[in-house]
This record gives sequence, C-alpha cells and structure tokens, in this order.
Amino acid sequence: MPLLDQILQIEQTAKDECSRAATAEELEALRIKFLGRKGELAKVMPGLKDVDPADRPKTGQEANRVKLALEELFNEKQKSFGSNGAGAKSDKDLFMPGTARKPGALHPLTQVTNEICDIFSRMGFTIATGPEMETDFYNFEALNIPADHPSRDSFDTFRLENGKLLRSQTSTVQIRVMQKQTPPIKIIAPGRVYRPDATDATHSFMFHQLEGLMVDRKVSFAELKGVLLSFAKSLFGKNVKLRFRPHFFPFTEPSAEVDVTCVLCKGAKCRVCKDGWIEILGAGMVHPRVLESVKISPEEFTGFAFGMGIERITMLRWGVPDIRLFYENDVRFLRQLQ
Amino acid sequence: MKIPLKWLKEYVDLPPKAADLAEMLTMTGTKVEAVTQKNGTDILDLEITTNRPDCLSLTGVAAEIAAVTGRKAAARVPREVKISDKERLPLTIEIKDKLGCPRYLGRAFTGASVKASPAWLERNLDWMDQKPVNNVVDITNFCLYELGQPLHAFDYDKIRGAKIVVRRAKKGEKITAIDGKEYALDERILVIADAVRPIAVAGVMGGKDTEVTASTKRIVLESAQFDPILIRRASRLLKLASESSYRFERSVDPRHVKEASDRASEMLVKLAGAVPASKLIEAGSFKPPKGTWIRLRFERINTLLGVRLKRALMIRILASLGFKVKKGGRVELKVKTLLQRKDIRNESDLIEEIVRIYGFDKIPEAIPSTRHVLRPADLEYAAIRRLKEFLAAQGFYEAVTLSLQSQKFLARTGWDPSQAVKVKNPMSAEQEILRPSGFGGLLQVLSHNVSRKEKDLAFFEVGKRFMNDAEENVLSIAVTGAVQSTWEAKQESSFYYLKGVVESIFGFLNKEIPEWAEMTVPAFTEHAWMKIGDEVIAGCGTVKPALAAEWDLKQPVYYAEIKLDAILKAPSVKKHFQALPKFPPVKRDIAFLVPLQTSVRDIEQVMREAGGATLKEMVLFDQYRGSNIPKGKRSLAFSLEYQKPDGTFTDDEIRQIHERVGHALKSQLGAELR
Repeated sequence: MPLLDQILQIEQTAKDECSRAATAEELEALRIKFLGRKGELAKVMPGLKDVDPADRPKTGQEANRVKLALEELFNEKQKSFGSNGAGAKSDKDLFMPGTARKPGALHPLTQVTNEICDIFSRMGFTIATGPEMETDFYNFEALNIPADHPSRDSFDTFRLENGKLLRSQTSTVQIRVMQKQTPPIKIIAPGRVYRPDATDATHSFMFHQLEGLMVDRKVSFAELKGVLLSFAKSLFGKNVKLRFRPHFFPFTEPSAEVDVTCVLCKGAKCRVCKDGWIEILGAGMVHPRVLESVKISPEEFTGFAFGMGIERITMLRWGVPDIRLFYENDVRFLRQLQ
Repeated sequence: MKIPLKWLKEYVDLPPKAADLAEMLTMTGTKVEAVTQKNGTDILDLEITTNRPDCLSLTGVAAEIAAVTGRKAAARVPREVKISDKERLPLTIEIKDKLGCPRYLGRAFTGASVKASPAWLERNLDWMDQKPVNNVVDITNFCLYELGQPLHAFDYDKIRGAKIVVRRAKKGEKITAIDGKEYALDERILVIADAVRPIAVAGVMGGKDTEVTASTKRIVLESAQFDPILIRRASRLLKLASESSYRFERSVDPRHVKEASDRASEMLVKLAGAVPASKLIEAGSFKPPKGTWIRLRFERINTLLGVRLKRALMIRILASLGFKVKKGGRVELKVKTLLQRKDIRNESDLIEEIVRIYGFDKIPEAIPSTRHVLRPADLEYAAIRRLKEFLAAQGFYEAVTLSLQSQKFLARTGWDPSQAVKVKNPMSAEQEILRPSGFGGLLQVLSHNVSRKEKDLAFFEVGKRFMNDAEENVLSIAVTGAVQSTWEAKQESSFYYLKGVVESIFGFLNKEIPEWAEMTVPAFTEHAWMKIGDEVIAGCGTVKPALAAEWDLKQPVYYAEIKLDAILKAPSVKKHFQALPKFPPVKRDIAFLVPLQTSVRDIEQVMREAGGATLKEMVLFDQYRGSNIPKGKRSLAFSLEYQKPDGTFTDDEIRQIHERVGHALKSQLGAELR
C-alpha cells in the first residue's frame, strides 16, 4: 500500500478509536499509540525515503496534516474529560484497596460434602436425607444389628428421654429410602451422626458421614470397586489407588474397609499412614437380611453400600490436625480454607 | 487380641517374617493393627471383628493362619488325668437355668500347692499383658488364651455345702468380685452359687470369697457353656467386663468346654501338684448339632462379585477353611455348616469367605450397568445449598456447632433447659441436651472470635433444632461489629441490617415476604418476627447487652433464626411476564415530622391509600432524630414514585396527587410536612 494511503488509514483508525475512548486514561493510551515516538505514524514515516520523489512532498505534507489534526482531535476530546492539557494523568491513587464487601466462606466440611455430592451426582446418585432423632428399627434392627449383640458395640448411641435415639450412622437413610422407592436406587446421604465418644484430636461425639447406596438387578462388587475408584480419583487425584480389605459390618456382606494411597506421602510410607495407605471408607454388598427388612427380594436385586466420615476426609485433604477445629469456627481457620 | 508369635508357633507353621504374616492376615480380613516386640517375641495386635469369636484364641488364630497360608495347624490332645485313689471329695452340680447354662463341667482337686507359676508360663501371660497371679489362676488364663474357653477355679473349702448351683440371682443378693468391688445382683443376672450364696457372676467374674489363694489346698475347676445374651446383659448391667465375658458374649465353641477342662486338669497336675479328687462331673449336656447344608450357587457368587470363579478354586478355599463340600452338578456346591463358625449360616456368608481368601484385589473394577431413572431431586437440600452460597457470597461465614449442649450452656442463652430434649446417657455435661435453637452455638462462635481480636463478624449455621419429638432445619444468623469497613464506606451491623438479610433470603428463595410483627422476647432488647399462616417462621432481634455480656460480648449483637423447612414448603412466587411501562415514572420526595411511636408501617399504609394506584414505590431514604427536631419526634424522608400505565402526568396532576399524600399524612398521623 502506498505510504499516503497508509497515513490516511491511520488517520481514520485513530479517529474511530478516539470517538470510542471513554476515559482520559484510554485517550492517553491512544495518543501514545498513534502519535508517540514509537507510534503508528512514526513507524511508517521511514518509508518516506522509498516514495517516488515526485510524490514525496505531497506525502510529507499530508503526514504533517494528519499529525496536527490528530493532536487537535485528542486535545478536544481531552477537554470533554475535564482534564487540563495534553498528557495530563488522573491523580487517583490506583493502589488504594478495592472497597467491595469481601465474601465469607462455606464451612470446610460443607465444601468437601458438596464436592463429594457433585462427584456422585455425576455418576447418577441423588441426594437423600433423614432425621437425626431415630428409632431402634432404622438405626439397628433393619440394618441387621440385633439387640444384645456384640456388633452393637461399634455403634454405641445416645438414647433420648423421648424414647428415640440419635442416629449413630447415616445408614438409617438407606432403610428409609428403600422403604419408599423400588430399585433401581442410587442415593447418597450426607448428614450429622452422634456417638458417645470422648472428644480428642480425632474423635468427636458429633460428626458428619456420607452414605451411598445402589440397588438394582445384578449390582456387583466389581461395580462397587469401579464406583469408588472413580470417586477417589476425582477427589484425591487420578494417580491414587484403592485397597479393599475384608472386614465385618452387620449390614453388608461381603464387607470391606477401603484404603486410599496416602495423600501425604503418595504411598511412600510416612509417619501418618505407616504403610502407604489411609483408611477412608467402609463398603460392601448390601446384606440380604437388610433387603428383606425393607421387602426387597435379595434374589431379584443386589446392591452395594458405602459410608465415609467427612471430617476425616477433610482433615486429610487440607492437613487439618485436630477435629475440634471444625466446631470451634475460628474465623482465621475458616478464612484459610476459604 | 495380642498374638505372640513364639507362642503361636506351637500350633501352626508360620512364615519366617512377621511382616509377611501381618500383611496376609490383614488382606484376608484379620486386621493387624500393629506389630510390636516384647520379651523375645514379635506380637501381632489383631482386630477380631464380632463375627469371628473363633479367632479369640491362639489355636483359633492358628486355624485361620493355616487356611490363609496353606500351612498345617498341629492338633493337640490333652492327656487324661487319673483320679486319686486316696481322697475323694463330694461335689454336686445343679443347673436351674438350662437356657442360661446348657452345660457345666466341674472337677474337684486336692493337694494343690498354690505358688508362683514357672517362668515360661508367666512369660506367656506377660506377652498377653495378663498379670500372673498364682499357678492355678495362671493355668485357667493360659487355657483361655490357648483355646478361647474361659475357666474358673474356686477354693473348694470356701464353697458351702459342697454344692454348685447355676441359677439366676435373687433380688437383694450381692457379691464382692475378685476385683474387690461389691456388685448388687438381681434376677436378670446368672450366677454360680453354692448352697447359700452366689460365688461368681456366671461367665463374667468369680467372687472374692471363694478365690484361690496361697493357702488354698483343694480346688474346683469350672468349665461351662453360657448363653451369650445373658452374659452380655450381666456385663453391661454391672458395668463389669472381663476376658471371660468378652468371649462368652461372642459365643464359645461348645466342644472346648471338655477340652479346656482336660487341658487345665493336665496342667494342674503337672504344675501345681494337684490330684483329681472327683471324676469330671457333668451337668446339662452337649449334643453336637448335625449341621446343615448350604447351597452355594455359581451363578449367585459370580453375579454378586462380578467375576467368574473356577469351581475347583472355590472347593479348595472352602476346604482350607475346614468346610465339608459336596458337588451339586454344574450349578452349585453344597457346604456344611461348622460348629466353630456360627457366623457362616447362609450363601452370602460363604461368598464372603471365598472372596476374602481369593482377594478383593483380584476383582476388576467395573462401571455400573444399572438402569437410570429420573428421581425427584431433594429440592430442600438443593435450596439449602444455594442459600448457603448466597450468604457466603455476601460476607457471611458458615459455622458448624455441636447439636448437643450442657444445660448450663443453654441457660446462658436465656432458654429454660427443662424444655429441651434430654439425653439419657450423656458421657459428660456437654452432652446433656439437644439444642432447641442455634442461638447458643453462634453466641459461642462470636465470643470465641471476639476474644481473639476479631470484632467484625457475620456467621450463619444451617442445622437441626430439636423440641419434644420434632426436629427441624433452621438457619441461624448472628452479626456483630462492622458489616463493611473500608476507607470509602463504613457500615455498622444493626437490627435493620439483619432484618434486611432475612428479607433478602425470602427474595432469594422466591417466596413472599410475610409481614413483620413486634414481640417482646426476654433475651432481646427489640425483636421482630413473622408468620406464615399460624406458624412463626422467623425472628430477628438485638441481643440484650446483659445476655451478650454472659458471653463476654461487649459490642451489640444481632441474631435471627429462620425455619427453613417451613419456608421451603411455602408456595413460591409465580413468575410471569408483564409488559414494561411505556412511560417513565415521576419521582417526588416528601419529608415530614411524626411522633416517634408512629411506625413506618402505618405511614406507608396511609401514603398507599392516598396515592392510589399511581403510587408505585415508596422508599425511606432518611431518618433524623436529634437537635432542632422537637423531642418525641423524628423526621422521615421518602422518595415516592408515581406512574400511569397509559400516559404521562401533567404538572398539575402530579402536584395534586402528591399533595393528597401529604395531606393524608397530616390529617391521619399528625405529620408536619417540612
């Protein structure tokens, strides 16, 4: 393109952009962009020596005219911003702090619960909830934990004067859902649970659990492993592995305790995990007697269930050393894990 | 349970490394909590789950290890002991509660010399963290650990009437147990008695009066079978647990009753110089049950696990666990129940046995192929989650406080603790009652933070509150100090700020804002509340300074509580498009003096009536009280917005309407226009 045309084009562009400039600062930027020492106009001018000598004076004059015109234009525009004179800068100190109200935060336990719920939601689980004051039936009997049986020892409960008890696990919600729905059932149930434990760095008489349940035709242990591995990878990172150890729970059979690769040492064995694994949940195939107690045929349907402690997972996640920090609600703690 | 490997080796071949054995046990369901060293041996600390009482002994664990490792467990048959031909001691045994005690074996011994046990026996017990007592008691403990059968030795000469009666205790009977404590007994508790009084709490602990001491010469050795439920109840009623009750309540292999008695007899003869002075006296009987055959369908196990297991493999695993297996064609196996494995009663029990030995790690992960049904979402849960995020975005921190509290704690919030749901079995005062409100929890959170020099606080909590038989989700909000404090703007928290928060929650949840009303509440200087229908659903107030001071809060504190269940159930505001007004509204301000007691609610009512349909909006933008305003009055300023759907106002029209509003305020409320 001939230099003359280039100059005219710069003029046009500068006029357009100048008309759109909304602040003195923007305008100043445009001034530098087009008229600065390294601006658009300055950049093309060395091309003047290559122009046909016959056209050279005219091109030179035109360049001068554009320069003056633009200077005039910018100065006029500058006045509309109420500033005085060319190159004047705003006297605002842009480094004073912003003044919007700062957001607060969800509690760390809520954040982790939400994250876990979202992972299982993506796998088709819906959220279910249930009461915290429960009856023996939902907390024990329907879960195949008979009265006067030593298996109750792991599930000591607070008894209430109104005849009810405080649920010692969220498995109660399994029973309530299975009474109402017919398979296929895929639920997760987060909530508070209570056990008469002495309080220390890792125990509290109130804590949070999240229970999962899936019941349908031909649900298998292999699928339980698949679902939990997907979950663990999503929550802890794609390189983690799970280890299923046989265990005993009254409401599942076979039952397993599930360990995840230690999140601290990545399985290299450290002071916390000792053997490279950290227990994070209990799981198993729903016991036929549990299905019978809610009138679902264990011959037609099978299912799996799992449960995890939210405090424990949150502690692992962010290295929280003491469970009591969660109930103290020190705003400095909440800000850290915002 | 502690398992010293040096002792265990007498019953089974072990792999050379303790760590390998620990790994093998852990991965087949017997979790090794720790491997430690003590007095020359490695000790495994095993977690024995309640379904596996067969593993509560060294021989039991040996059998499990044999199954897991494929090694051999050595059977050990005690030698028969000979009865003295010189001295015979009379002894009768009577069982009065045959369900509580199906079988009781007793044998009298004479000539025992009670002294310290040989070093090896004391060492073995030390491995188990069991204090040595004397040779006779140590032998009974040794047999308990070896076979899992609890035994007891009585001093024969302290038993009255040479008689042992197994019966329920009578109300009012008492016993001082070996631990030196006295226990009150009743009919719920099974006891071993002599002709006169209880001499042991059956299956739990012997009595002090009849215990074997250094001066004992003649003894009675008890080996019995007790009902697990009765033993468990007695142990819980008396708050007395022992190695013995621990095993009985989990149930003991009935075949060990005789075996353990023989084994202890053999050791008493050898280590205490005792001579049997009676034959083995048996009360009750034991008929080994025939056992039943369980079907194990290949289709079932493979479906449940999601693998295909070979028949030969299943047979091999079951045989290693001691099960008798019959082939049932191509579809199933038949497996006979075992006396020592009461936990194996049906097909799913067998499947668990097979898979725990086979290894969970060999089952490949699979993606579920379930049907996917659209279920109604838990809308309440979803709404609460959004509400929490809404509040957090506005600067509130979410708190999680304990639902259990002490009565004292609740009393400090101005509540009468007698109204709260009480816990029957609290372990400490902090667990006495269930909270009837979120108030105390948040006051404590404010107090905690203020004492750490954080003065500007805004907290909320969502959780259950409990009254009588009912529980409901509530949102509690507490604010104190500045809401906003920047170099540009400062806003202190106030009653009105919190009131606005409550109203914004209704808006956020798309619910009508119910009308506010005034109510006197003892804990609050001022308190407003609202109802939906007849139900009070929200309250908002300024905490009385005296009450706040109880929590070391010297600055003003504002608190609101909202019943979420009730609000979320209320009908949502229906959304529907309405044509946007074609003509701009006209704004006119109005300022006037009114008596302090004239409420804005009344003022708005008057203006609305006077302004008619054209008055669209009334916004209070200023209140002024103080100098140059007469006492007992305040100045209020509103911005009023008038609009017509079908055109613009003429100056005259607007002046007339606005004057009508002013006039109504003057005549109806005595307002002085400014």
